[in-house]
Amino acid sequence: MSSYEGEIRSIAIIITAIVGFFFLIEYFIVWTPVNKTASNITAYGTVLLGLAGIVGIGNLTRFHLKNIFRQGKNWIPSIILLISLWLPLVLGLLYTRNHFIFSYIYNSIYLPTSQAFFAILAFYIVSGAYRAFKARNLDAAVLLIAGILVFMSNSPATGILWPGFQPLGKWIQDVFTAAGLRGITIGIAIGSVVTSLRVLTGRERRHLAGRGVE
Amino acid sequence: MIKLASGREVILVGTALILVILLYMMIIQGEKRKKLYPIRRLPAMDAMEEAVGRAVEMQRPIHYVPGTGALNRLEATSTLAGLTLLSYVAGLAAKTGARIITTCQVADVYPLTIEIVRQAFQVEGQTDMFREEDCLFMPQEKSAAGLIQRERVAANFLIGAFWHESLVLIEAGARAGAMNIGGAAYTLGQIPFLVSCCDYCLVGEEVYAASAYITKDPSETSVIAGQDYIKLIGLGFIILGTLLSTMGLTVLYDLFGA
Repeated sequence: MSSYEGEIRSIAIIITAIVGFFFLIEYFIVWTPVNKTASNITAYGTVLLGLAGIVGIGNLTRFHLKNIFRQGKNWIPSIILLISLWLPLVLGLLYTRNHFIFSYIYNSIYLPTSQAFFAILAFYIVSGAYRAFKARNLDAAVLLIAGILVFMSNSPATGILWPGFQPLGKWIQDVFTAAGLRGITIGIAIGSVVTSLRVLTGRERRHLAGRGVE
Repeated sequence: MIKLASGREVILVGTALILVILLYMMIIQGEKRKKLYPIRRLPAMDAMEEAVGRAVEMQRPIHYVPGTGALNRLEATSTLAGLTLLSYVAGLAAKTGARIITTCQVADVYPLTIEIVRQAFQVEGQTDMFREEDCLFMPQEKSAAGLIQRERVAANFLIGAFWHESLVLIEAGARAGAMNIGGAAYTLGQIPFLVSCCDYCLVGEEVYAASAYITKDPSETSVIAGQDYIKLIGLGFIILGTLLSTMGLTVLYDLFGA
């Protein structure tokens, strides 16, 4: 790592610490100048995120343009991707999102495609369940039995077979699942606070392409 | 006129600050004494090296997603943990000569993923092996499912904050014959999917402990020990609160209760 990169990283850590601790204090203080400054910084943050979007779009465009010019692997889908990326963007910028072509692209192409993708999830859940629910060992067998009982308790028809399914499923969820999830939640909460503290104090820097504690 | 937010919040913050100070003192003490606290075995962490090795043997790429969460929302710490592990996995890939493909849905996380992978290759002296075109920006993360199957990845890493797309990506990995390694620490609803469908999984706080597990650095392991002490204090409060509530005293519940 060059000294220049090190300096840039130090600047990033200093900015993170100042802004992070400022927001931490601001959350618990009612004082107009501080609260107003925090609200302004949040607005600047939104603008910066917009700029980060340009980096993503730029990279995507560069990569696929290169692929098209080289006629590399899947270069025809690259053309489709670039059209799908830039056409709505240009139309939206030129005519605003109320324009009928933009609305058509969004409502009749983007939304149905996205919903179809979301719907595929149902099939993935089935195939995932098929792979997961195999009693390979004791833990897996317990998971399988508990899963079947909860599944049966959530199905209205199983109440006719045996009325005990619903209270049993509810008991599993209220006692074992809730207790397990609370334990995990407490662990996650403490882990999050500690990670935040480490980031704010500059002890964790791998996310800045660093090597952790230096 | 400066005012504190509210009475109850002040108590909560006071408690949290005391716990954090306690933890910080542990970190400093750990650094001074260079005391190495033991960390229990995390099979998912041990499997990472194996997964990368498998990818090299099969001459197939690795796929890594550092979650689909942003850096300006509640899931930020989870995303940062995902990026921390990306640094480790990219380092392994650079060391062994495996090709690593990263996909990123969030614009502000994307530049970081590129830099992390680039830096990992640089540190291992494999700068020429770094391919920026393998660090992809995918605004619809689910679409990485197609890439996973097309590239027939040998190892599929999903570590960070995930929502419904986690299962799509895991199943795509399974169909491609990849070794799935997951890690979820934000969306509790996704943990069952990851645990049941991934070959190995980091659950909850394990994701945050991974950094200490890799480095075995005294300052990092003392953080984990500090977390455990905080949990013990929390457990003490739970037991005390239960006993007091049983006796009809609601002091603790009134302070911390919802």
